[in-house]
Amino acid sequence: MKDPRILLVGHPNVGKSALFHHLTGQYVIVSNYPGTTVEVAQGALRTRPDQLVVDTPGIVTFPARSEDEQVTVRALLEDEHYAVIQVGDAKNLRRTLHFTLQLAELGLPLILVLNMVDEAQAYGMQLDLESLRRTLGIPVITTVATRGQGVEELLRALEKVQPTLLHLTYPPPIEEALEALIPHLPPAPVAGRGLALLFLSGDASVETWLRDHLSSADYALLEQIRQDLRARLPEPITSVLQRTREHFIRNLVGRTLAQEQRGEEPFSVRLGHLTTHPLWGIPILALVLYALYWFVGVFGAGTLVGFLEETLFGKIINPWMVSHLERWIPWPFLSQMLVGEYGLWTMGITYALALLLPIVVTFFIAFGILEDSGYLPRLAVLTNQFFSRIGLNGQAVLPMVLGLGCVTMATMTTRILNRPRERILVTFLLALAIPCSAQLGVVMGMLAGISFSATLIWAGVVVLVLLTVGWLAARLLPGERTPLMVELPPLRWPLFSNVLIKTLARLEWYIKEAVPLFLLGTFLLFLLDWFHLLPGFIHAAEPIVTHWLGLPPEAAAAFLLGFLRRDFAATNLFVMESQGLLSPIQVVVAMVTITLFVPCIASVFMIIKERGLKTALGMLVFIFPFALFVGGVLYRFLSLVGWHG
Amino acid sequence: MLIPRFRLHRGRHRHGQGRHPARPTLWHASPGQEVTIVGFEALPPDFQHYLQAYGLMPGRTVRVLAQRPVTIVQVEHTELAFEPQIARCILVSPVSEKTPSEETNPPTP
Ligand SMILES: Nc1nc2c(ncn2[C@@H]2O[C@H](COP(=O)(O)OP(=O)(O)OP(=O)(O)O)[C@@H](O)[C@H]2O)c(=O)[nH]1
Ligand SMILES: [Mg+2]
Repeated sequence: MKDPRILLVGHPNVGKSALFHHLTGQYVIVSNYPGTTVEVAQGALRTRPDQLVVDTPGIVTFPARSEDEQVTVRALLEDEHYAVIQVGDAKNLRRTLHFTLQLAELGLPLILVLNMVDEAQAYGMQLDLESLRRTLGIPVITTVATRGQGVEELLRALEKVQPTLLHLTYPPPIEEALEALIPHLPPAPVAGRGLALLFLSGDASVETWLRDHLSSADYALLEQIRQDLRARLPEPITSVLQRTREHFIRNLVGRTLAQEQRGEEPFSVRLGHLTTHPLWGIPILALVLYALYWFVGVFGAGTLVGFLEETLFGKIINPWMVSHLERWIPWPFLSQMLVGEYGLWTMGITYALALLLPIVVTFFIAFGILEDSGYLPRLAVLTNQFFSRIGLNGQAVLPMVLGLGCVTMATMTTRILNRPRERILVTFLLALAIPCSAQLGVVMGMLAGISFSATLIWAGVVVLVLLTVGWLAARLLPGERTPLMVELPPLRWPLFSNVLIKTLARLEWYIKEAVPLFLLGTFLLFLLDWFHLLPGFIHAAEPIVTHWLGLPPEAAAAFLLGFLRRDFAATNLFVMESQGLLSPIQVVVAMVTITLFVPCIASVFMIIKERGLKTALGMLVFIFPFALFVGGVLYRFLSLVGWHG
Repeated sequence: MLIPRFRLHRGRHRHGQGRHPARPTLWHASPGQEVTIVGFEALPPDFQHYLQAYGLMPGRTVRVLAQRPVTIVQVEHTELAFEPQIARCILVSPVSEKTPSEETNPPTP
């Protein structure tokens, strides 16, 4: 049995992770959209290092609807807790209190944190905390998590938490059913009444838990009680429960919340409405995309890479390294391994630091700003039509857009989708057609160097593939489409400190993950070259690389690297192009092929973890030949129409 | 896991048609209008439960912000976006201009 922990739970996007950062000093990603956290994170309490604090994914209500919510339910129901901190949005008091009641009924040692009081006050809301505390019988604390305001008071409240005693009285049929149910329940880490209420509302995880802990005869008895209750009520049990809670909350809010008359709507609210407007939404999206393209493609991949690669590494560092190391190290094997054509330094490290680092840094900054602004969930509204054509809804846009940052992380974010079918489809499309930040930067940089039409052709082909393959896959996978239903968070000014720390966190992770693979790939190429196996490999790949794709034979080495990471392959092609080895047609064909190529090793492992080995293998078996197929067809098509850049 | 089955009213009538429909739904309300939720029709119970958790429950007053490309409503200080086929399952009654809405003037016991 684990030591009792402190659990942070609450609705999505209310500031749990921001508070976790202040309680533990440990950073987990904080962003302005629901579904940022999809896995539990654990850290020691700042003031008491032996006490663990757990950050959980947001949950809207019991029962859990998606995989990330299930993670939270498991964390809540399976272990004992020292304290459960419900983080709620102060400006959505009723919604928050509905969840408080659900938690209170479970008899948890509860503390209610009303976060974002800065925004609530800006809306003219005033809370009578004393009255809230008295009625609920639990500590109620207001915070501004982003500024650490209220954290000290929370730490003090953590010193003396007690199980919650509050419970509501439901209409007689329900109370009678509860009375009949509770004696038959097995001992549980939560209160029997709460457990019985969850069972009555048809919570699947509670049903499973009860089945595991009861004989089938006892479980059948519970089922019978629930059946009888359903027969007695003219409406779903949950509706009756929610109405009772709503009644209680209406009275409570009436007593504790004073609302001054609102004035003009703030500008951010009006701007928010424009971003989803059927007319204005599109130019705003175009503006955002153009800004992203300019900052990452032109400034990052162009200006910064130009300086780092050509000047700093190309003219200063690398010539110095090569001349000195070749002189100092008498063994050609070693010196070639470090600074030769496929040298760990001259290729592996140079690619990672001079070419990709500036791209991912600019991308992570731009992306962090976008995430914190609250714009991303609004894309769900704008793209809902598009995704409904491929059997999904606009919610799929979030993992897809996050995939532009990193496909591996985005694969995990598919947990926010409601059905297995949607998760498989989005995982598949991510693996097939979404380039990650580093690769996207290289692709944009290269295509921008040719012409705008090159960029359009590349983007057009990728979107076409996304649509056709998505459409076909949706037809093949049985199941209905779920209609869109999302919460749109308020637009906020991104916090400089959060964007910075997020960029650094992602950068650290990128370096840890990518650089070893770069070195490994370079080393493999070096060995193949040293033992004169590379020409043989290049020759063997010629029918595909040269005859089918129309690329120079040396491009085979790039595709070999593509098995480790697609961005590595793209970088290799980038270098080939800057040496004048690729024509415009070849660049476009190579970029399309490598965009559709197998996803990087890390994301293959993530796909296996989230979707299972069989599904992962199935995807790879399709993706690899398909990427080559599309590349070859595009080569023939572009040659036929005589496109020259 | 609970998976809602959707057998909802699809397509057929265009938005805005019939200003006084027999059973007004959220889908009939025009942007800017405040309406009170009355109930649900043909919506799977678990999905009802989910909407209610966000505050879309009988007795609450919400403000319609947009109807295209999807329905967007404001509940407390949250904006929720959902497809018309859901909006068509939420029965509402209009709040007349003079009745102060619950949002702005919470009842005092
Ligand atoms: N104005 C204001 N913004 C806040 C406050 N607390 C958090 N935020 C912002 O709210 C957004 C969500 O914060 P997170 O900490 O990621 O929320 P979360 O509850 O962990 O969200 P999920 O992991 O998606 O469930 C971020 O943009 C924060 O900057 C606050 O007290 N005031
Ligand atoms: Mg979080």
